Amino acid sequence: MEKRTILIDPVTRIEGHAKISIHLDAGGAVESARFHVVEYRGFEKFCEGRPFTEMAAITARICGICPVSHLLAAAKTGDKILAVTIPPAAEKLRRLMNLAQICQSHALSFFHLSSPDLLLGWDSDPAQRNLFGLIAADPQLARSGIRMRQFGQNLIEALGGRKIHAAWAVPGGVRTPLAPEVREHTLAQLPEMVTIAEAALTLFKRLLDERLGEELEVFGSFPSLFMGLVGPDGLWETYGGSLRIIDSAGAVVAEGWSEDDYASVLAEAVEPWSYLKFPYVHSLGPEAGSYRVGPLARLNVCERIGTPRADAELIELRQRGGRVVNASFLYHLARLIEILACLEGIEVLLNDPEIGERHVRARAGVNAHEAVGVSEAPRGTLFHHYRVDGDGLIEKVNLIIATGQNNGAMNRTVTQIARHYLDGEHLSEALLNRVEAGIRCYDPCLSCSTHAAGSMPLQVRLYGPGGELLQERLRD
Amino acid sequence: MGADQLVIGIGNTLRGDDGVGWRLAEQVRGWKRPFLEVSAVHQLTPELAPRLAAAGEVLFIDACFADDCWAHDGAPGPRLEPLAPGDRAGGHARLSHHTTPEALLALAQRLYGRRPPAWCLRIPAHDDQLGSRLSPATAAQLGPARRALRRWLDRHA
Repeated sequence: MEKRTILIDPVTRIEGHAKISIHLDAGGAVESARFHVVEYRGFEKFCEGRPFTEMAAITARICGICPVSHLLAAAKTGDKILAVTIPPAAEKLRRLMNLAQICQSHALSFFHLSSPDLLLGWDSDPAQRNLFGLIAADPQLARSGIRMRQFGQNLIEALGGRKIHAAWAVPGGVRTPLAPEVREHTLAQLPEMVTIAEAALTLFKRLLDERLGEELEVFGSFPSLFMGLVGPDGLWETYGGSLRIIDSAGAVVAEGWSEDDYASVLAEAVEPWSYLKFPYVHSLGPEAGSYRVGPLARLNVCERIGTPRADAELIELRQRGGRVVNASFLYHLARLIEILACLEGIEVLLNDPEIGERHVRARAGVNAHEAVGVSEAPRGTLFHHYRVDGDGLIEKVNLIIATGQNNGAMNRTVTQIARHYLDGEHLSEALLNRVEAGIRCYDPCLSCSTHAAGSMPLQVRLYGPGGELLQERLRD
Repeated sequence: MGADQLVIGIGNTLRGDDGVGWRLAEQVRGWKRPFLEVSAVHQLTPELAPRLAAAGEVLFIDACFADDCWAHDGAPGPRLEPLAPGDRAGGHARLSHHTTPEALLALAQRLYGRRPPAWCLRIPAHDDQLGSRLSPATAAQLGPARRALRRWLDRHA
């Protein structure tokens, strides 16, 4: 049999533009599969020549889905260029905003992007397997997602003055202290949000028990490294702490290293067929050194979360998937647990009197010419690396984004699903749906798209060994 | 109760002309009209649905490909048009980052029981490459777009 390629282009219901190709060997079996990112980001180049103090505002505008992540990583990098320790209230306020951000981003991923697949099933009509189909099946779940999104967005807006692109975190701290009414209003909403999160957890765990067992085995289940921030005593962390890398058995591969030394631990491979780089642990090479980041990785690398409800769920997750969960399908469950952890964390922060202090910004000039800042974005660890001149103008920028760090895992996931579900030469809807859903486990955000670029139909192409088009399928 | 008039500008201001809807919405925010609410968003997301359902009427401002955007006199330029109920609410790509105004309106109807009368002001975009400035051709359309928007506000106030 001739070699052939199946192309799914582009993937829908993720942020940005991408396509998937599946490569068959001469025997008709899946040789490999690739997740291509076909849009060039280019933001690093765009930032050169700008004052480092503007980086938070600029990079927050890269994306409408996780702007706070860039905002915080940029502000942390700026802190190091100023060489200041920010006021305690400022750190707590930044943490608060990050937790709100993770809540609202995870809510979009679970309630609106993934729930249609989970609730309606892979073999349901693609025209119905979307938010409108979800509304028909479970309108309350759809409303719950919107409520959770509103909660996170409103808290971000209350802190930063706007829902997205809030240039509120700045080098040295934050621009404004916490208003007492924001504290009271947010605390009053927390019980409802916890109820929503726990209901979603109950629903998803029931689905796992009743009908999603196979997905645990096939949707990206493989050993790999995991990386994330951890706090003191290995506590779950989203803002500070230090980086930890573990293997699939839980052994620590690297720990306590400074983000300033990321280049000595991590390397980035490039492939000609994707604009997205492939980061890996340098000492282990591109294959063995490939690692996963994001909610599942954060729960794997930590010892415990540190809040009672979320810790109870973490114990249950580990009973289900092992001390180190290797099944990427459980990213969905990890997202829900993190929502709960964020809600509990928000309550702890708001009840800390120190967060209300008025001194929230340290001021200084340029005291260092190179710095690296790290925070945990909803999708995983985010690095900002700047080099500046004596006037603080950016000479070089490197951004290592979470989706890039999951690139290797996404490719392995697509390959695993294709190998399991490809039925001879038949390009079934069920296969395509599952391949797309495998990618969605990671909630990738390519985030450089322009909404004016048009709609995103699903295009499937089958190519012969000479590149000739053998088969094409398209659905809107 | 929501706003009598809700204006939502959509776009990414780091992608050249793609941000024209955002920019115009930011200008309108400064007009300080009573009962007018303005949002500038990078992309449409589901949590806007309840605000839509509570609004008297809604105007979206969005960039469109210049070749597809013609003013009512047939010349290239901003086009203000009503959004018909039910159109383009379906499709596989609904509510990705590419959520459309029509899909959001349908969501408001189905989840919150009301779809307000809605219009879209489409402004021709010529260059969506990385950059924080509008192209001269799109910048020149801001004036006509502002006038069209004022007329809409006055007519519907």
